[in-house]
Amino acid sequence: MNSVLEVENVTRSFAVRGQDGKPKQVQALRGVTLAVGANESVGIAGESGCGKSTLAKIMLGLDTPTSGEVRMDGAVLTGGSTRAFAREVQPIFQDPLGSLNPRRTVEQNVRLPLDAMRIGTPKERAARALDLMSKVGLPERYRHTYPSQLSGGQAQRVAIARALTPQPRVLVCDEPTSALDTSVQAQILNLLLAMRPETGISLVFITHDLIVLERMCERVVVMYLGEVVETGPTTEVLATPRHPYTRMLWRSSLTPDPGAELPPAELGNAITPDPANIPSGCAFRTRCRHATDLCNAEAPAPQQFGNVTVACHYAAA
Amino acid sequence: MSQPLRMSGVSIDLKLTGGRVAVVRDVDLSVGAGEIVCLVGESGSGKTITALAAVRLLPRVAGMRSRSVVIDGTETRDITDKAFGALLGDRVSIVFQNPMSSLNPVLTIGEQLCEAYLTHKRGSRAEAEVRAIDLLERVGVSAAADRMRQFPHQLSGGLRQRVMIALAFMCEPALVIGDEPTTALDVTMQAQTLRLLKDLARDTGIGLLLITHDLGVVSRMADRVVVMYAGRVVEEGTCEEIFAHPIHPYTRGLVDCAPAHASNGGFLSIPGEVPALTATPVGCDFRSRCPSAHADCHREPPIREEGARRWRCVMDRKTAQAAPTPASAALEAEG
Amino acid sequence: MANPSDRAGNPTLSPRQLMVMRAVGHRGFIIGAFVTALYVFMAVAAPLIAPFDPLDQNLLAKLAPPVWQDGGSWQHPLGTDSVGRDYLSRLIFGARISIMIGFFAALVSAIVGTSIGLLGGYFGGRVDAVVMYIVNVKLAMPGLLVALALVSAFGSSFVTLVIILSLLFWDRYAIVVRTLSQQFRNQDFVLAARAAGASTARILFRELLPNLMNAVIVVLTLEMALAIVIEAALSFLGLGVRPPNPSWGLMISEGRQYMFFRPHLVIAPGVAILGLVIAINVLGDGFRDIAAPEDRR
Repeated sequence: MNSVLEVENVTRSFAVRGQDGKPKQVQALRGVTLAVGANESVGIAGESGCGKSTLAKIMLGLDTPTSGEVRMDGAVLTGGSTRAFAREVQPIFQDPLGSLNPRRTVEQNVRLPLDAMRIGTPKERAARALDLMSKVGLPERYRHTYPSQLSGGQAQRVAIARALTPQPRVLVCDEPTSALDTSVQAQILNLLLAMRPETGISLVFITHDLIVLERMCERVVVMYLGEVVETGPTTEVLATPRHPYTRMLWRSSLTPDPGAELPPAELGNAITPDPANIPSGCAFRTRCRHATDLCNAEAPAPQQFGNVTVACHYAAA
Repeated sequence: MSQPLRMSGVSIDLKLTGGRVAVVRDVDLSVGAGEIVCLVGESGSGKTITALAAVRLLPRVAGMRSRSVVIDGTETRDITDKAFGALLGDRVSIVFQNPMSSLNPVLTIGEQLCEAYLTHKRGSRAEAEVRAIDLLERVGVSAAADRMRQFPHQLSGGLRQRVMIALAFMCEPALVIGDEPTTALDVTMQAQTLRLLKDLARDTGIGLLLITHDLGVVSRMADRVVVMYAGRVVEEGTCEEIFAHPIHPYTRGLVDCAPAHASNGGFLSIPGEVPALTATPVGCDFRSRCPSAHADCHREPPIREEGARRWRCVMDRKTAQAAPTPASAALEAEG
Repeated sequence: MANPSDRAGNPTLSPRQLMVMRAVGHRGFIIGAFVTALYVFMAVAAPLIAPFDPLDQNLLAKLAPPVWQDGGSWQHPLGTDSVGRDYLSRLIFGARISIMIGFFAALVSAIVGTSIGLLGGYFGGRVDAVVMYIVNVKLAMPGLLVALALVSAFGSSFVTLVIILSLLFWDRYAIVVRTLSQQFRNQDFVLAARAAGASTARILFRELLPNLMNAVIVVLTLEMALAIVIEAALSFLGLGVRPPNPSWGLMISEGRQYMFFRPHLVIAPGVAILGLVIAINVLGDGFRDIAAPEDRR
């Protein structure tokens, strides 16, 4: 498949001050490579602190990687202007109301990318904003209302319309429905799904919810402490998760299933190590029930199993 | 043994710009000893504020009326705040979503755990410490004795929430209320924390009232489920019955909406949104989203009962279950 | 989990309409606004409502008593001053000077302070360090003494007075705006604007600034009241508005000599200042109350 957006060997470290007041380095991303194909939906899964939000910011040009690069159709975007990213990649954030400027009307919020990049005449911008509002299911009468007058679901529709106005190639959605009610969440997910055939847009879908990811994305990337530990077609990866972390995440996802038990305590330790102090060898070994001396000594190299790539010494077993 | 919680006829309104708004209307809720009850609903359903009302932690703009609120055999409707304070933390305790806002940042974990115990004169300081360490170990906090000397900011979010759970159980209360206690946690941590909470409730025989919007959590935790919509209880029943044979159209829609039930046609949702509380219509609150709504729904629906099962709908069980589900995969155009 | 009151807010009302509703129900705001408006009207319509030209001297009628004292007449309700100018007219025209200087001083300092605070708060890092250094230098300066020195060095035209008063007051805006923009700069709507390709100037002035305006207006009212008091003080000391222009501070100073047999020459301008300053303060407090519910979001 042709890649649209490529992230190559991206690292990002932050200097922070520890509790003892001494400066230390937090490695949020430790060499992440991934590619998003045209009209493909890629899910990035992992727990807090795994670096998925930092990765999203880098893909949006809101943060600069310490090393590595982001390419669009082969052209390097990193190091250039945010505007180069803005044309191609647009965000959807988690908190729908927080992502809209409370002092601007719905139409002004939707038009923002066009106004900011001076695309088209003011008339064309208004027309495009109204067109997209109707596409995401917001009637024209919402045009002059303010975000505080909207429900969470409506606000997220506004955010989606805004992201689509400059006709980007990729939409980076960072937990787009986790702040919404269950009965409304589906409306937004369906909307995102419905946009794909029409616009040919690619989705990067960042979530901790593997159940949603399973239905939304063709491909899944599982991240742990700034690294990709398992990636491949969603159906294959979730049918037989090879990395113990993927297994743990998947079994901890609670589907409504009365009578089913909670996952057993033996699944593994749920405590993530301090990202400023990443374990040697395999980063996951402190939580892994199967960890051996090899895992302590050596970081596992990614291995290929058909379409699935796994970074675990015992993935074959 | 008396019932940990029995509240009836609870109504709450909030005083806001533009007048008073009824957020909870005539709610009955009870939790039996050793029972786990899940209070389910979406934002604006009034589930959190109902729970806060039980422990008198309502915001100042709220006004509450009730027929009766009995906690562990004590009628609290007419007692003073001071008298109620003696119950809070002792007979009933609450675990919030964000542990950082409930833990005191300048006191060590040990001090906070022991303080509750000592305030309610349960025993000596030494006994308090023994109990605290024992509880911390039971909720899976490793090196408990060392943790006792640490401050809240030195712990991770998951550990803090475990400390909160230990704190809630310190005085062997009759009732523990969890307000979305695991929503802020990662999935693996959530699964483990829920397990701890369930085991602890089962071992001690306390009543657990769990407030959540996550049906995955409900299905694995609850003995009994109470579903709220727009400030009212719309359905109540055992966990198996609610999931396998929901009656009220809203419950049916909610159960169908779970992402796990998505098909190739897309995710299922209930078209429309929860009505704004100021616009709450007379009659059934769900009728604007209900495919079976008809003229009768403009009147107050009756509360129907079949054993432990209750629902608030004009339709009887058979009619309701034969009616179409409100969940649909269609992308609805708002109007 | 959303706060239940979020959903309870009436969805058909815009933020502005809600603010108007809160304003109508806020007694302090209404009273403050009414009294302030009265003063502003007095200042604007001074030539129409004042019975005399405030500068016209009539040495034959000097120190005429007010209407409630023996020998007073309705021709000069507040009597005349030591050179026979109608005191009521001077009081009415005095409102012009107080309000103009107070308003412009508060406005200029608002522009300076808000810009500095916005830069420091949004950019952080070194820019912020420089901003905080300037603010600290300002805070360490004995403001009134510096103002006195500057006035005596540069004289006291209207423009120099406004500039000097602005130099005294910009720091509070800077501190308030800096803190708020620090909170706002990492909010999703600012990130969304950056991701939309918005220029830094656009983010600062069109995305951030409108969200800070309520806070700036609250500070502006409080600073305006303070500027009015300081203008009066400077004029009283002979370093502000020059005679024969009518300034309330100057009038108090001139009336001082006759304090014991014409006490109203001191009391009337004093009450005028007090009334205006209290009204503006109450107005500002009220504005904070009615604007706050949105800012807390």
